[in-house]
Amino acid sequence: MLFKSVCNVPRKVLPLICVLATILMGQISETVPAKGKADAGAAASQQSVQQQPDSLPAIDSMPRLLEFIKADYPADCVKKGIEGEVVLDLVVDTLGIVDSCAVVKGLFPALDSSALHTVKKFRFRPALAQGFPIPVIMQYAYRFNLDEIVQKIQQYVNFKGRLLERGTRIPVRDATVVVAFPDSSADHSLSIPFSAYLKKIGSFPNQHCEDKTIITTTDSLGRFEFTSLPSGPITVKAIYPGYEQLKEEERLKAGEQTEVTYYIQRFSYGENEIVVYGKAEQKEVAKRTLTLNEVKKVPGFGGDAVKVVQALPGVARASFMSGAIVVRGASNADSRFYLDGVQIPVLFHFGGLKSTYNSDALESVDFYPGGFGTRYGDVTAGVIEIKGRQAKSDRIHATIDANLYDASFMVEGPVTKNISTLLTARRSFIGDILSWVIRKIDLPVSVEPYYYDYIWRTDYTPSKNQKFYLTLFGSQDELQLITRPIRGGLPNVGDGSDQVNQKTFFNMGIAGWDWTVSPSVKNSFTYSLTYGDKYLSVFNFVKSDQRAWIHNLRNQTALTLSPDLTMNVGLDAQVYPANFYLDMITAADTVSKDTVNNWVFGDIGPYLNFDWKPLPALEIIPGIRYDYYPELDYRGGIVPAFWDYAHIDNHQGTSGEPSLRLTVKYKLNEKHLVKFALGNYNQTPQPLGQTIMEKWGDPHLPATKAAQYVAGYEWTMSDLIHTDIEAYYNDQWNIPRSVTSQDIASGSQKGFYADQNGRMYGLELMLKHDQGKHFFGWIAYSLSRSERQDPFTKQWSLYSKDETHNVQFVGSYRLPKYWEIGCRVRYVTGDPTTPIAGIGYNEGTQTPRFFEIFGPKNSARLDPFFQLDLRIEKKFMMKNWILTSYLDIQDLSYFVYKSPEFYTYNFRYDQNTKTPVGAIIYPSVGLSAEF
Amino acid sequence: MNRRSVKSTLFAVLASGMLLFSCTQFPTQFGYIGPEYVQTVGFVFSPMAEGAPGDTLHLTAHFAGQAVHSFACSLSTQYNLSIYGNDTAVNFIPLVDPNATFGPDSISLSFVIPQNFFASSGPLILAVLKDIPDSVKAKFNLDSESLKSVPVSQLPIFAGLFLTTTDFSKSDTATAKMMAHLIETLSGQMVLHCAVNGGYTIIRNITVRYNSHVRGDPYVYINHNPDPQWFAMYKVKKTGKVSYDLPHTENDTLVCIYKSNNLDSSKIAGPRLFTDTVLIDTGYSYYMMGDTGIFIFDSITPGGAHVTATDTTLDKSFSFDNRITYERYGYTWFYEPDSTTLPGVKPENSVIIGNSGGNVSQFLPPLDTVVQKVNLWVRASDVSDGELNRPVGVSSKKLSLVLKYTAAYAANVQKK
Repeated sequence: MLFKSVCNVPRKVLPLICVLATILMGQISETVPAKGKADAGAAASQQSVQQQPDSLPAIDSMPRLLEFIKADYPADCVKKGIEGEVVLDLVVDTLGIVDSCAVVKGLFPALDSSALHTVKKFRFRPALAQGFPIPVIMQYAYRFNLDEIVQKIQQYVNFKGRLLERGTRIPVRDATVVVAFPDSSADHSLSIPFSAYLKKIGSFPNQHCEDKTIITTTDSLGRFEFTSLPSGPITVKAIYPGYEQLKEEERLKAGEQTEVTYYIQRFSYGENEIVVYGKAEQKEVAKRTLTLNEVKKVPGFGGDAVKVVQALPGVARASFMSGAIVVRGASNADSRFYLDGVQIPVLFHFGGLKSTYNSDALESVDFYPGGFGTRYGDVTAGVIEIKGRQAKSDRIHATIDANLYDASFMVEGPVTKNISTLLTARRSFIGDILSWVIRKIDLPVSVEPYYYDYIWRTDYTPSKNQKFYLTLFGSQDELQLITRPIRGGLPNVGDGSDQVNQKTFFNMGIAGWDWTVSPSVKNSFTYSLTYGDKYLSVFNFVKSDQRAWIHNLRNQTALTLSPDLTMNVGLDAQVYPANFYLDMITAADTVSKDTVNNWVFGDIGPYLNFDWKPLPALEIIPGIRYDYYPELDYRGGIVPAFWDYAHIDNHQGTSGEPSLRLTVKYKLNEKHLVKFALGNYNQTPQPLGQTIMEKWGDPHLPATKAAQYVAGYEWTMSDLIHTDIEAYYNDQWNIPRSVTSQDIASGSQKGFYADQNGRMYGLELMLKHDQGKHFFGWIAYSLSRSERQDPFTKQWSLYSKDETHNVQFVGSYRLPKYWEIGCRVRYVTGDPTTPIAGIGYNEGTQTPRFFEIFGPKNSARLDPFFQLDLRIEKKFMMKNWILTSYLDIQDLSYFVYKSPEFYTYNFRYDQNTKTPVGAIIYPSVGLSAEF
Repeated sequence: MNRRSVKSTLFAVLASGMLLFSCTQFPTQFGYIGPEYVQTVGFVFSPMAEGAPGDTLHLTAHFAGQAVHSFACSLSTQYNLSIYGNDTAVNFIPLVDPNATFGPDSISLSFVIPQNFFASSGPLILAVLKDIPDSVKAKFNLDSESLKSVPVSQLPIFAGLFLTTTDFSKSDTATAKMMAHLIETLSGQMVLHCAVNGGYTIIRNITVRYNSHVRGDPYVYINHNPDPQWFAMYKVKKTGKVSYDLPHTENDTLVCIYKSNNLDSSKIAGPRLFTDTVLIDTGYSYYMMGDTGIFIFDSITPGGAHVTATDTTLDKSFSFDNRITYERYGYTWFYEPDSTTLPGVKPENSVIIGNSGGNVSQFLPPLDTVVQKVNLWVRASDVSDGELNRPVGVSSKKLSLVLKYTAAYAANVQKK
């Protein structure tokens, strides 16, 4: 029916009718563009409704817009954010002029009207049918779009700042900075809706819009900036993992740039300061690395990172006030201590109170309990190598620290672009306090112990291939005791009959040069010069002085021969002419004078080792080394000695010994690794010098020798938990021993013999939990036995530091608000002791006294040692600095159990007066400020 | 915590620390004599504190406390002295003296120093002889050639005969010193072990040397047992100090409880009383003293000034490295409340004398004023520097001390 009516209309309007009919029948073949463009260029694609009625002449082309007129966008509509389409019916005549139009679908009256009036001014190319223009009726959708307005928003930075870590002022990079707008109507100057504005500025470079906020991130220097933020109040949030969320309120003013610096707090300031145990890529089978300073928080060590070695498996409990490092049942003198590859004379201040190298200037502490490679010589037990850290170069840093025993400061920072420097110094004042108190209570004695140390390190990095550093490092310990005059002695022997003086000091300079010659050649050079002096005067009885200028040199070249094979060749040399002076009263009240000048000691140790990976999971490190000792006068071995080759004549070389060492590691899979090591070791006889002096020892003593065998297994149980188990067996022979009455009875004129044997074996376990969100800690267990053989009876007896069980738990837990609490629990089998078998009374002295008659040596043990240490730390975060306060209590268990170092008795040694004497509760309270 | 308790705490902490560094002696009950122990008071050898091979020494051992009911002695002549001064006695031989006697508080016996005591000293003597110039040897007909003919094993006998038969009185100083050195080299020590009542072992070193047989060499010394001339209690007004080395004042008193008949009492310095009774009062410190053996005057130096020394009549002072070395006396005090005040007095409430080894020892008065009289044994020993294997001379003396208390003291003292 409709078709008929259409057919009756005049021919002129047929197409128009056809188009309308087609629309009504839903046969629009080309849809109306959903969104028209307001610009003229896009006008052609704004609309066009095409149809091809089946029964009418075919329309060749629909009208094409030739002239687009922009409709007026009323301001109030813009502000209200009204946008959308006004759909109109247009009758376009054969001249392309809009003959008439009507709103089909309105948007807003003002916009409808504006559109209606505007489209009338459009000019089209008329529709064509069979080559002739025809009038058509078509729909046109006029789109009012705010984008056009938004495009006019200018880009300008009106809010920027820096995000720094609170306290340390370290820039926080890649942090998210979010600006929110609590009052969207605050900026009256906005001509478009607020959301549209945000959307638009969110498209500006380096920021984006999300949920009505503008977001950016900080750069490597912690900088951030926002562009074209609306004025008014804003809320700024900074977010970064591991940090507390920062929230600040700001008010932006139109036409002004606001610049801020924000300080964001870490949840904990020890994130990077973790202990690594058997986890880092390492060559040695039993290398235990303590990196950075989380270890400073281990309770019981007063913040001293080096002392934490005593909490690792394989290290015996140090006797109270000794600080001795006894590794796997060997003597303290059998271990060596290095700083950046060269030996340091003294590791700890007196009493083992603190290490001489300030922990704040440390990078890491490496501990090798045994089975180590050829890098180290003149050693038969373990090695501790501490590494100083490079001075920071980002800005000036300063730290001051004061506790119950000492105070220190450290300053570091850049000097030039390539040079940075670090200076730290520390001095104890416990002696000053002690002296003051003694004066106050008028004791008839005066004690003035003190120590100081300093480090000045300068780093120069001219290029990425070369690094130089120079370290000046020194330490002094001095003790002066003045009391009532003590009778006896001779006035020209000591410093006086009323005083004991002891002084140990050294000053050393270390120069280092690391050079990456090429990708396959790396060289590391270190030279140090040390002047050391040990002085002792005991009333008028003894005065001794030992002085030496010590030269240390180490050069190691690493050659990468192939991707699987690296060769390390090096020289580890130490040479020092030493002077000894010893005056002492003899049993006959005469003076024994010993003076030795320019006695050359040292160790010249060339070495070579290979790091070979024949399989991806297999690593083999064989090495050889030769140690020459200029102070010795004997025929050394020519074949590496793994035991005393009594049946062959190996002693045909110079005064030195060759060593052969091998390390093998095999990775079973990502979580399991097995490892083996063996090697022979040697050292100059200890105590150094005394054993080989003509008068006191034997100038022809041979080097002390050892062989070590280690097998181990590592299990990475999870990302945080690791286990390391090692079994070892060590042999020592040619150990020097003092002459005995038995030797004297047989006419011996020697002071020392090198005929003692030792053996040590054991099992060690380290179960460690790395730093998690709150907890880090470890359990260290050592099961060991250390024995020495009597050269006469060939009987084995316990070594004085044999400790069957040594169990330690170390844990630290982070609490909110920067509180951290940690504890250390230690149980150790009592040290061997020689029991009292009877009592004697010496009537033959000026002052008669009772004395003990001892039983078999080391045939009994002290009661077990138990200790509980506690550490509580609280940080106060300021903008530019951090204040840390801590309480470190050693041996808190003293009140319930007194761990013995020895026993005292009354003057008659009555058993019922047996009293344990040992570690006492030992608190340390301190404050530290970091700027 | 008040100031006093703070002070006490600090002192306690410091005292613990000081023990590590000093040799300070604190009063103990070492000298307390109780009935449960045999207390050795002194081993006195006569005729003197040394002997030569072949000499007979007589030992009188004095005891207190538990009565002696058995004893056993042995002697070692192999006394090894190591290069560090460590000594080890070996090969003890039981000492048998058929004439030995013992009573509740003493043992008396004699023994002969073995003739072969220096039998193994031949190499040592040979080494010393090599250092003596031929010119000196010639003075004593000891020419090198004739010495070479003496077997090393016989040198000790040869040296002993030479030293005991030669008159050195006409020797010049250098020669006399050389001979003294030879004599000193030829010295050693024996060790006496004595077990009393099956209890602890008492050891006593005995020096063996020829000194007492050498004639005419002024550089050869002989050690006699000490002969103290007086004993006293020194009563010092407290001044807040704990040292006894104070310039004494008129408030201080020397209560002389024993004086040798030979001593001119005017030569004892300071305000003094000659009585065995001491009035114990508050506000005083007390010290037991004896003469030092060096001065007729006591070591108390009035006003801190040094008094002129007068040598004792017994053992000479001698020069060593251009300085005078004196023999000095030291004392060990043993004490018990008189039986009239026992039983019922705890040892800690009785007197305590802190033995310092010197001539002055701190005396802590009783905390129980029941103690009216104290029996004292004092062991005197002598010491001197500069001699190898110098013998220790010992003597002992029994004394008594009567204590009176002021009302103030009795009112303030508190028993433990």
